[in-house]
Amino acid sequence: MKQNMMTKPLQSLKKALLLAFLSTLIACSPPTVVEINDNTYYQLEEQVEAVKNSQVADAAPLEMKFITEKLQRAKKAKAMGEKREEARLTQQIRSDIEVARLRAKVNRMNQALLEKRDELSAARVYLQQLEAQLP
Amino acid sequence: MNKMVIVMLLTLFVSYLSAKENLELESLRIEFDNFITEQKYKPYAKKEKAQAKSAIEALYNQRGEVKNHAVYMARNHLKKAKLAAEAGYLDQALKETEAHLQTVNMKTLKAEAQLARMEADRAQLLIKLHAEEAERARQEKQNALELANQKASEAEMTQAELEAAQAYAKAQEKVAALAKEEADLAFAEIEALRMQLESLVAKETDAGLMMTLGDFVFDSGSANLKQAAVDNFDRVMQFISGYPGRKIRIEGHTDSTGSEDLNQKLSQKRADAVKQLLIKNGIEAERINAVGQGESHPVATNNTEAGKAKNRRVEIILLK
Repeated sequence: MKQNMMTKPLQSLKKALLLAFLSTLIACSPPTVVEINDNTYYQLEEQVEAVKNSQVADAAPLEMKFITEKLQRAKKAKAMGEKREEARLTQQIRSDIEVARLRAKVNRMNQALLEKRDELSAARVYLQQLEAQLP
Repeated sequence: MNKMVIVMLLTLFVSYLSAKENLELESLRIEFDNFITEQKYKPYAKKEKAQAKSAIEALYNQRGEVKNHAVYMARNHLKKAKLAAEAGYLDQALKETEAHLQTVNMKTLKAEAQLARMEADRAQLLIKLHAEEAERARQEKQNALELANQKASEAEMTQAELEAAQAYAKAQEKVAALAKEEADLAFAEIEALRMQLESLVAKETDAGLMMTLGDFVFDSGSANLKQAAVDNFDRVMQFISGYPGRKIRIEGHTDSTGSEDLNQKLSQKRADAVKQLLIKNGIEAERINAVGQGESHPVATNNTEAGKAKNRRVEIILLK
């Protein structure tokens, strides 16, 4: 009976440690990198071109600068046959494009909100002027 | 079993130590913690936040070049989470602003409608006032016109009446003047007649004393004695009265104008008229003999008006 009382907390501790260990192992695993093939770069280049020709380029110039630079590096890595580097850069560029797009979206929304607030302000002023004419 | 536990504990400890050493990761972690505790972003980008969290947590066990890439990706995840949260927040703010704007616009529409109604009412009132004003002006104009017409009519009437009165007065004046003239003439005539009668003188003739009455004592072409002659017959009566015992012969004479027969009759009638006047003045009818001589005994020429006037006469003869 006494032995039972001693072994139960120990077993619970072991289970907790096991979970923590597994989590650590998962965390320690290298980040998932995209798989690439011969066309990946060209597809990426097309994506970048599309972004450059969109409003995103104006809304997120810094990101576009990084993207352009990284694209050059990816091209170089591809030429050098450095698949891992090319994969990492491809992943980063794709992520950068997402960031740039989001930034452009936020900029647009900010602008839209500013305009909407201006509109609201003007509407309120106009309403006040109207209400002042009412008895 | 105990060895295994020890290995696991060691692994955990080592990973803890290596994480502690990485300040960049800590910075990223703090940035993430600050981000997720920010109230305004709490409701948004939950998926992106979880991805960023996983990416950041995974960094603690990375090394070398792989770690640099993982850090970059984790930072990008954090950026994306932040941007997504910002986008969510902005979207919500836009929706709320839009809702407010709609509310204000609705109020504006209502206010505009109310003002439009007021404006319409005011316009209607103005139209009514203008119409009333126009009607009043028309009425005043009408009244003024009627008054002017009335005044003009009155003026015309007054003028007409005045002119009529003036004409009447003139006519009356004329009548009066004529009457006066007539009266004057009559008076003059009477006076002349009276003077003529008073100036009558008797002449001694073969037949006796004779007094001649000119035709002025008769109305023209008639045997009627003029009233003035009747009234002023005193001189004749004095003449006759001076010889009360004598017979009286009255002869009527005319000029040659007209037929002889007519003149005969006229002379007789005139002699008779004088006879009647004498009788009326108290002379006995038996004493009087009235004879019409016509144009047979002229005393002057009938070729002149003066001669004719002398021939038209009545002679009163007191016979011897």
